[in-house]
Amino acid sequence: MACTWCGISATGWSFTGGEFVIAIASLAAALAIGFLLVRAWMPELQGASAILFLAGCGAALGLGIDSLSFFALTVAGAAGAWWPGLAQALLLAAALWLYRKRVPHARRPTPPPQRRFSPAASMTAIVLGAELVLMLVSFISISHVNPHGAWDAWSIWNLRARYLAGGLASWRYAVSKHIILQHPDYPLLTSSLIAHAWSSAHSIAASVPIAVALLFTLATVLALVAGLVWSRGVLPGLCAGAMLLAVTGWLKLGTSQYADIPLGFYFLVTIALLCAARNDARFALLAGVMASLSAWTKDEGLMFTGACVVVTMVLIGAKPARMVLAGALPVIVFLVWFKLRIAPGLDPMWHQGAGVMLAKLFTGGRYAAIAAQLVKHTAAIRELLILPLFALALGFKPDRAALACFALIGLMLIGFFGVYVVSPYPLEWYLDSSLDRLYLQLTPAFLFAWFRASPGTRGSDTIGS
Amino acid sequence: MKQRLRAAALALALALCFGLSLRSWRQANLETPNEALGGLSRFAGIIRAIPGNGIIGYFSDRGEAMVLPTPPFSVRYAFAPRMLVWYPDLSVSTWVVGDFIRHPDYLRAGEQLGLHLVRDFGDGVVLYRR
Repeated sequence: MACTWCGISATGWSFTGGEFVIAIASLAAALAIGFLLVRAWMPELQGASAILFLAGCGAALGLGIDSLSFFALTVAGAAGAWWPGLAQALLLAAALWLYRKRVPHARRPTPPPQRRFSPAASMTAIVLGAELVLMLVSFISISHVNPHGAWDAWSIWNLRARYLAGGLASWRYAVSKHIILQHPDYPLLTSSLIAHAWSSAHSIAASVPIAVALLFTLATVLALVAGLVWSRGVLPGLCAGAMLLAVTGWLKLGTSQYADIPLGFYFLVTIALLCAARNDARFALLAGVMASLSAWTKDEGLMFTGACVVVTMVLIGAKPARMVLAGALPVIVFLVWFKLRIAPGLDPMWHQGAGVMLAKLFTGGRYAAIAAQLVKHTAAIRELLILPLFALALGFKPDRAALACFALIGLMLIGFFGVYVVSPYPLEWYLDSSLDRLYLQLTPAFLFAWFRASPGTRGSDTIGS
Repeated sequence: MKQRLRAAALALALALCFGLSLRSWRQANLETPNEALGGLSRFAGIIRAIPGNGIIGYFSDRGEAMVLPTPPFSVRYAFAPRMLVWYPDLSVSTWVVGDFIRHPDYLRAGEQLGLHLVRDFGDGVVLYRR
């Protein structure tokens, strides 16, 4: 009656040396696959900021592919240590081949000449560096006290990761009616990603979800800073990073191991890519892929994907909108299959009936209650008061791309409002337990839009230069 | 003058950002353990004694478990990747976990549900067999 591998490290949060290397190798391979594919997709981009931004996009793509392929293999009955490992090795080889074919030696980027930072940029870089150190120390401190994360992490995401990591014997529990109160219909990007690393290492040590949470948190900072440095200049990029790390709830959510930070990361890279999509359809296609991966992270991503197509169509152009749709389609088809065949009919939203939903739509009191909570929660975000200072320092003049970002965020807020109106849950409890997290999901994307609205300072910083 | 104003605004914004980060770091030091760890340590013994996967029955005299009835989330997490289901409503399992806070007569409590006591792990955690 001895326990098999799956219980060995259940109470600890550290691996043995060999297990740790295997788990990290699984995540590192996912990152490498994503970076090589994105780099091969845009081989001519040059400069450190562009490459770092692509690294952020690559991380998003690679982690998404890893999650999808592990889940697909598990459902197909090919779970276990070596099938997903073999699939990952083949993907890595294919990505490497594509990279070498598309980015030949002669066209590999040469480092641009060193540019001296302005005093303002230097000062901002120092503050950002100090904030990063504080963030890492806080992350380690909180993870040491609560290695299994906060409530939703162990009751939903990591629980389902444990079921998936158990392989053929237990993966169905992750989508089972037995856990109806723990949302078995939720998408599985983070759970499947964690499960793959656990399955590879033959251990369910808590250090994997901690590493994944840290990875998504740092990747968000990287993508925000690099995306803005690339498109707007050094100073707006560094300021955006400093601002993001100052948002108290955002860091706390990162250490909680919730799926909201990965979701916010996908929102961010999607809108950053959309900003560049007007003149290059490849960015639009990649933006579509990222948006659809947000839908594989949390249900809010599905609404985001739809909003992306609409905003791109109206503010950027019909061709980019078609490309966004084309990029999103494969993962959306996968998600539809998941919702209809794997975890069908488990969302309480659809169990309440059309009549009840209609009645809620025509109840004015619900609108007033939601609006009051929106105002209350927005007013509580004191960090917003810093943004006008940055606007004064850097300027604020939204271009069409920044307006598209703001429109997308506005559509999401309207969508959230609509979901609250027809929600099957007690309204006050639902607003209290979710509204702050919805804001934090949109925070990196909102900051990108805000600092993107700084007049272009690419190549020079005007303050104190 | 305008340049100085902009520099001052930037300096103030960065100072506020750093101050907020410092506050987050201080709050991180006040973190207290949540119930996930409690569940894992309480059930560590029985988890080592039962099969590593499959469906396991569960019953309890805990208030929250009686109301739903379903295993508390922290207990379910502790046993995953095994699936804990409420006994006798849903269980088809050979093994049943008893989780008591009132420490009744475990043998009698099991017999009332047709279960044989296999082992008492202490602290109200008991393993039964159907």
